[in-house]
Amino acid sequence: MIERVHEHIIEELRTNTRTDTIFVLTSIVLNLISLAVNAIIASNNNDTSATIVMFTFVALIIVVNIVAEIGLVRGRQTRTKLTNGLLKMYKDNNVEGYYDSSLLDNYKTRYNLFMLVVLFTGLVALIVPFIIR
Amino acid sequence: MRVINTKIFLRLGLLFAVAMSLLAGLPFSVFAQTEKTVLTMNVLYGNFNNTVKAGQDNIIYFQVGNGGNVSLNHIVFTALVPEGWTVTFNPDSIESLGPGAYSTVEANVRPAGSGERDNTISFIARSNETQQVLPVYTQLESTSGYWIWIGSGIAAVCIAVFIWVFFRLNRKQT
Repeated sequence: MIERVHEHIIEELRTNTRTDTIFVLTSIVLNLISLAVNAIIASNNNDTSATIVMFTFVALIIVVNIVAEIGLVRGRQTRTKLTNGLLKMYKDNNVEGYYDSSLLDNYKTRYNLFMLVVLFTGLVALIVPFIIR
Repeated sequence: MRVINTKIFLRLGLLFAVAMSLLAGLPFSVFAQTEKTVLTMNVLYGNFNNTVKAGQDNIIYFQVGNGGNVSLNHIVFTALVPEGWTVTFNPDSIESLGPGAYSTVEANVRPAGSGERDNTISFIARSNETQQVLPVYTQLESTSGYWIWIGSGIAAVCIAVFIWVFFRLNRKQT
């Protein structure tokens, strides 16, 4: 039974990794697309309709980035819980020596860096069109 | 010696031909200077870099000149501009511009508060004799840097929300 649980945790970890990758990549791509669209709008048009479109994309950037951040924080928490479960399992089976618990800190740092990248691309996508305008 | 004789003969022949034409009453043409009406317009780019500020007075100087050989009378200036824009000229008309004369005109362009970034203004000079159109490409510029402040404000709010979400979710975990 413990083997099935172990497999289940590993599978959960894989799913978690995939989801986090999707969150990071989607937010970065959408940020860059929004940056391109808003920069074109800002450099070509000064009228009201262009401003509305620009602010719509600004709203999109904000929502996408906050969703990505929440997703990444939750992903990190999920990963921590799953890894803690694994560690406990390894401890119960006296094989905890093979799994370094400092890996958890590494994951935490990695998630924070992902969030920083998402935040900064979002900020660039927000500010640059306003500077051009 | 022979060359000189040939020239004298040619001249005599020409004189004879003209004299005979006059005697016979044949028509002959007289070259007279034709009337040429040319109105020129040029923007004085030393004072203008193609950008106009929205909602503000923008002065564009241009020069009108008479490139023809007759005087141009009652030259009136008008302009074709995008909707919401106004243009005033100083002077708004010139009574007479002699051949080879030039005059500088000041155009005060006041664009609307917002609109297309790329625009073309057509300055028109119309005299009694002729008219000329001067298209001028302009780029509309925002009146102030308030867009940067709006962008910075939104960015600051986003950073605050980001940090708040980060700490709030982390607190929930513990």
